[in-house]
Amino acid sequence: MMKYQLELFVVGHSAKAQQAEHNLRRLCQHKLAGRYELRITDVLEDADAAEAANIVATPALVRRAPLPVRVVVGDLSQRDALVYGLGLELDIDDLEGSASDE
Amino acid sequence: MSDARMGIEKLSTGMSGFDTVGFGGLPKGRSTLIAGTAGSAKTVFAMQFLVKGVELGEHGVFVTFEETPADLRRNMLSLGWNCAQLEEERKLAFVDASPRPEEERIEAGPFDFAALVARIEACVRRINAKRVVLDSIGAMFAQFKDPAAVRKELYRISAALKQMDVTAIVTSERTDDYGPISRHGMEEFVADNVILLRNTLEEEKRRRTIEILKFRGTDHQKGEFPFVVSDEGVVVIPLSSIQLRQKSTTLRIASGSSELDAMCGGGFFRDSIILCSGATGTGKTLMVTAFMAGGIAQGERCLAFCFEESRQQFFRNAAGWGFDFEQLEKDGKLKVVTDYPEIMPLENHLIRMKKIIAEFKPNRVAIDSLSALERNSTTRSFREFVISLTAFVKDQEMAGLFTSTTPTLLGGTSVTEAHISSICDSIILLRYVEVYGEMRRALTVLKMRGSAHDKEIREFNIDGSGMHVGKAFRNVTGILAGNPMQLAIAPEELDRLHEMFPHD
Repeated sequence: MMKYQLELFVVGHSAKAQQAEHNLRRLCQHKLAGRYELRITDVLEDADAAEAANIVATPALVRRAPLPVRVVVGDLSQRDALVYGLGLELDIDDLEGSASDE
Repeated sequence: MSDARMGIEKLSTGMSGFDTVGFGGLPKGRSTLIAGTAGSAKTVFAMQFLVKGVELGEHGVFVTFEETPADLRRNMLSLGWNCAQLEEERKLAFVDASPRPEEERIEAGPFDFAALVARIEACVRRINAKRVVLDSIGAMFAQFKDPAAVRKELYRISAALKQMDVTAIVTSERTDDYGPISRHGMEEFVADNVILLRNTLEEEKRRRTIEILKFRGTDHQKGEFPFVVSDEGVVVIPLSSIQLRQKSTTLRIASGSSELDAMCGGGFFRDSIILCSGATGTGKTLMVTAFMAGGIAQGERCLAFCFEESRQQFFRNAAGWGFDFEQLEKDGKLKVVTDYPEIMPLENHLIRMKKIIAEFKPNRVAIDSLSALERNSTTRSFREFVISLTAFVKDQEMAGLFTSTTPTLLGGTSVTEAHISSICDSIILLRYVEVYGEMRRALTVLKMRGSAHDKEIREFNIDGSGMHVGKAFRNVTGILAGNPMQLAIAPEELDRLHEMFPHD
């Protein structure tokens, strides 16, 4: 099965950064348990990675796989936008409950 | 150059002409907004700021929001700026914030530009940059939904730039050359300094100007100044900076005609501008030819710009009067530049002529004719051209002979003269005189600054050996008015009138 490759870019340990990580982990555990790899990159420590990924606004979640590459910007508090951004839009009707495979 | 009284230091941009208009350059350590419509040369201006900085030992970071670095590298090569090489030498670096069309971007909550600030900071540190460009921030509004959020975040960048101790240029789009400063109210973003670049259409001709709208806390020249984008980038023409500080000399040079020298009280002054005005065929080009030949005979270097004739015509005519200009040019004593005035805008002619003059370093410069150049310009840009060129020629302590063609055969002045007559030191008029059914030529020295001169209107002949100034038209009046009339006065009476007021 295809794994989701995700990278979350944050700057330092701001409230927004923590919020974004929390929101993302919650959704992934719920919807993508065992099917994703998540890396968290602090731009202050690795500016080159941000340069390579062309990150302007943070927090920024980059979905590297599956293709095409998608970028979700913000603290990921807008759940439907995050779900859509991760490409999980087909599951949108069962956001509340049972886990299902795509 | 610092403005000690105001406490704000200026940073020399190294850009030709701009530092003069900005009284030393851009306010150092601050951000300056450059606003302009599409195609107003904002990006070229911004990149030139960095490239010139490198020449002055200051490294630069280019943050691009619109074009990709690859596009920028390619576009700037045409101006001779090798970005890739400068990047390799760690003197220039790009921060790429341009949109990637292949990536979809979704907004899911509040965000900030802290990552961009961190990237800029890292880049500035890495190459020890002193100059930063953000081009163009308007593009950020297209990338994000909420303009208020973008504006707030751009303000964060502005504050961060101040902390970094860099001098920055921030470009922004305008929709109208004479409308609001920028599309998204960005003047608040960098409210300290605002420069406007304009690219307007005037009398069917494109005219680029630069205006410093404000430099907070420090001074600059006011108003619009023309500029061109030449093969070396933006060249600003700082007109009002031209000062009347030329040294004055009493050294005389030969005009190329001993009779004319005598009329001028012993020749032209060495660093003077002479205007020669006349209708077509009155002998202006011959005057130029004699002026060139006269200079070369004294071992001077001469440069002629011909906008009315081809090289071959000019050389053939000179050969007819016994001058081998082709050979003299081969010997490096003479340089003849011929062009159609229409090949480029007048501002570009000016830049090019200055460049040729600076390279050839002549003692004498001739332009045949100014009125041909006038065809190709608006009244305003022509006046600016004449002022700028004459100041440049005088500043180099050269003698300049400019010709001007009058529109009417008899008498008359041209618009050209209205613009130049107060600037030139001497004016020579060549006129046709109709005498008993015959067209004859007349010459008079109308003005000769700083010297006594012959005030007579004399007959002027052209033959195979060149020009000859003869006797005064004693019994004709109204030549300059274009209405010559023969006087039926006895020669004795004329002599008596002539003696009544002794010559000075």
